Amino acid sequence: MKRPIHLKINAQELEVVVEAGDLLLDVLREKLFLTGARRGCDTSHCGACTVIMGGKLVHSCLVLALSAVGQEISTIEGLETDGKLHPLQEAFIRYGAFQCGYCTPGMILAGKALLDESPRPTEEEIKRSLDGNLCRCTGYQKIIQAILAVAEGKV
Amino acid sequence: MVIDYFEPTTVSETVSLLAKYGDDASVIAGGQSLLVMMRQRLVSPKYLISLKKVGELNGVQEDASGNLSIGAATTHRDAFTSPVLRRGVPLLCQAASKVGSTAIRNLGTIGGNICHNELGADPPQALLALNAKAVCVGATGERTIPLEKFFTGYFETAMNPGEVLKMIEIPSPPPGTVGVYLKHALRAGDLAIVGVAVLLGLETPSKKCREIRIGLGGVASVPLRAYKAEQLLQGSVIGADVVNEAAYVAMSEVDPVSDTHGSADYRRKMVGVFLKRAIRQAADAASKPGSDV
Repeated sequence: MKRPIHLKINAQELEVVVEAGDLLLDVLREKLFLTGARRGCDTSHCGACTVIMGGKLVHSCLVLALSAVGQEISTIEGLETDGKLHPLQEAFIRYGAFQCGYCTPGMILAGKALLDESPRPTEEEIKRSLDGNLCRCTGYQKIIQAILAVAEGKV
Repeated sequence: MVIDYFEPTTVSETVSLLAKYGDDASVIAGGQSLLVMMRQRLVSPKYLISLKKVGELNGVQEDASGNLSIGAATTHRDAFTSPVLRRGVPLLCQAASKVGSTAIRNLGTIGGNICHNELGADPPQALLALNAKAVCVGATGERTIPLEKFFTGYFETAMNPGEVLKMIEIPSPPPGTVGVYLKHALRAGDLAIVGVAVLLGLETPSKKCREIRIGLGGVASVPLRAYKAEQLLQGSVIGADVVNEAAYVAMSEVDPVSDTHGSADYRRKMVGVFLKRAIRQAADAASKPGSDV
């Protein structure tokens, strides 16, 4: 059952044809070529597939494409504006908050979802908001520092 | 393979769709458990009936006596941020705030959680301690199932095929009771190795226990109330000895399994440890002057 649908992604209306069981993650990657979201674990634990939907952090591997219709979706690709990086992206570069970069889109979006809702989070609140995003390289320290730096207006 | 997807707007429409497609259909609320099971090929529904547009499944109502009705499709996040629930049943809010991780709590629902009934889930034991009831609707109408009868086995509930959970009713907790939910897990996102929910009411300054309810999860084939431990504590003055004794009794009421997260023996011991901790924390909170639920 193929259905043409419209998805609102990074402020753009995009038309795509999906099957009933298609996950948002696969539609983003394979039909829209927005490959910032990754299929990291297939068991919904790693958060590499994280995007923002309806203003809230979600795992795109746990969202049916059909249920994303009508929602505003933000992916990592939408963060820069006119070639200028978002402060979180700047901070991640400045603080060295990534190594292999696999978890990075999810981490940045987790930071963004938090700061959009709670502009002055404590370090504990930042840690808690990252509870669904795993990183195998960095040990999290610099990721937290980068997000905190943006929260404190340093970036 | 999923052939079709529906978005009914009423419970009645949902029930009709379930009746039409029978075993080939599954309802999907937040999808945070169902989609994982589908990917693991544990279930393969051909028809998915989304509940996200069924208005009757949303919302939290409180009547004049403080009795609560929570729509089954209330997300964990909406539950623990709801001012009505935070005031009325903070124990449930504590449990909901420990489910999975941030993104999972944003979409996952309380109703979906109890219908899925996975070992180590958090809301069930809090709801058991709150004497909650499940209201289900099927082709033959609506029925109410007390939660002690709702959980029937691993991933099994007393709901019949073709029924959909509509809401969870919680009677107003006795005034002055305090709830503490403790989850023993190694990482965020993990299911509980042991989940302990305690609702406690104390007479002050005597510290005599006038209300005690203990919900335990992750330690038997179903989430359960530790009735024998409750009986021991009821009417007793809360002190180290009786709390230790109650912990031992609770340990005898559970029947844990061994898995990669812990042996049966370890889980049993942790029931004792976390129950003592929860009672102590609840007793401390209940003893504070002017303490409220």
